[in-house]
Amino acid sequence: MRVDDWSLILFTLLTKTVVGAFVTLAIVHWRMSRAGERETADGLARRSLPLLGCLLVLAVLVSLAHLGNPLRAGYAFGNLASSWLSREVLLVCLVAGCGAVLGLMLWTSWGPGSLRRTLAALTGVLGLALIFAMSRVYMLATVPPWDRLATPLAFFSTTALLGVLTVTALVATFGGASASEGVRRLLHRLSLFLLGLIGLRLVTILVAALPVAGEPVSSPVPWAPTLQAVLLVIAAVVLWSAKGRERNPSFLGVLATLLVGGAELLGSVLFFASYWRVGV
Amino acid sequence: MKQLAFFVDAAACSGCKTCQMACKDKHDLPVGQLWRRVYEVAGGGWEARGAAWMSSVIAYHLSVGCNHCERPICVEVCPSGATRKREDGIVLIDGDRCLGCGYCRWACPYGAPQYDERRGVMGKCHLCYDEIDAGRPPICVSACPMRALEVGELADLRSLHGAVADTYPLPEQGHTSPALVIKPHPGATMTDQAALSIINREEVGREGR
Repeated sequence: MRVDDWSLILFTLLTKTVVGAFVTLAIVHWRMSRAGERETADGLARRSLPLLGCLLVLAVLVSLAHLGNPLRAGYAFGNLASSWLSREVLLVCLVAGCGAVLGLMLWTSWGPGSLRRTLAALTGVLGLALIFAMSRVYMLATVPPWDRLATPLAFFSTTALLGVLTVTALVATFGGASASEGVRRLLHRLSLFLLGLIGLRLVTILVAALPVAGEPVSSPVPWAPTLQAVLLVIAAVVLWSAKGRERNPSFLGVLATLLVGGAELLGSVLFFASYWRVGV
Repeated sequence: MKQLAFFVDAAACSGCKTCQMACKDKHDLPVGQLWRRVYEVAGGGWEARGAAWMSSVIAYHLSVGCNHCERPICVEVCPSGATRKREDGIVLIDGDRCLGCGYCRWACPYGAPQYDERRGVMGKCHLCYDEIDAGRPPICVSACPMRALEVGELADLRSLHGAVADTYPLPEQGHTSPALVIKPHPGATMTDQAALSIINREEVGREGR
């Protein structure tokens, strides 16, 4: 693979992780607040948002590596009327900006709760719009393997999977799991949700592996999607075996994270490798 | 709206590649870049016809640059707006605005935009707009010893030569509506396209990612 391929692979994976984690975190915060654990929820958000912000900044910096002229990146807003790439860049900036303001409000305890909730909802919606725009960047009419419903389905399911997995790790790390029964219940629910997401991701892998009419050559590594699916199934088994364990489930959690992360990295590599275009 | 276009007489083209070299020379293109490519196409073999074996071998050349499409996908996807269409239909890349992201290269079905590593920007055939503005034809047209290339108004060229723009190895024209008119080599229309192949792939390369 080439440097610009790796740049885009890392950018898309990191951005999906950040958006998925932010949306999941917002839902978790809302549920915990309703359950009377607002302090714990605020603490979790305060500690998590800087981490997600750093990941998003890293994603943007990595994405610059695929430009021949990174210093001209500011021109990337120049064709919002028709270019999905232009829209994607704008949405990344909006998500980063709204997330940064929200983080500052949380850290300084400034502003009413309703304003923070509104800003969090806006950031989440912009994040989901970003994932949609990102998937549309690849849905070129002249690139049949990418121009199909499997692309946005895969992008959104990866976003949800990596996001929930990240938040599970954040809750276990920052949520004060040992002190709170509510947090323990939440971790349990997130694990079950992850199992469902893995099932959805397996379906998108199957759909993406279907051949496209006119495909000139078959994949040089036809076993790779199977390996990706196997990694996810093993991750599901690990998660299932971890869910009943009250004590020290961290090893199994880390193992499941590595398996899902590896499967998604492989999936991204396969997605970029599946490129072929009509014509000469 | 005015739309300038190329006419390629593939039946007359001898494959000398003077157009390719004249373009490369005028625009000082580095090794590996060809804004105009001459595809060498060949196919066929021995076929049994009754008791006899007949040769169906054919070969022809097709000279292709940027087709300055009526619906240019490169202009549509370019994030910076560096790729634009002039009043006369010429599609240009503004090298001072291009990010060098290569998105146009992913999308163009003719492989026209190519990455210039020296400048970190994309480049492609711009129909020698400097020559056009001075009232002269593009350098590839001037250089062709067979007079197999012409430039003119798309509507005029179509009324003279028909509306074919997608003989092998070009894609069907519905993707981008290329401003291109081809007089096909007889072999291109008489032979099953599945039996044809580009035999100078190493020379013409394969643009994309």
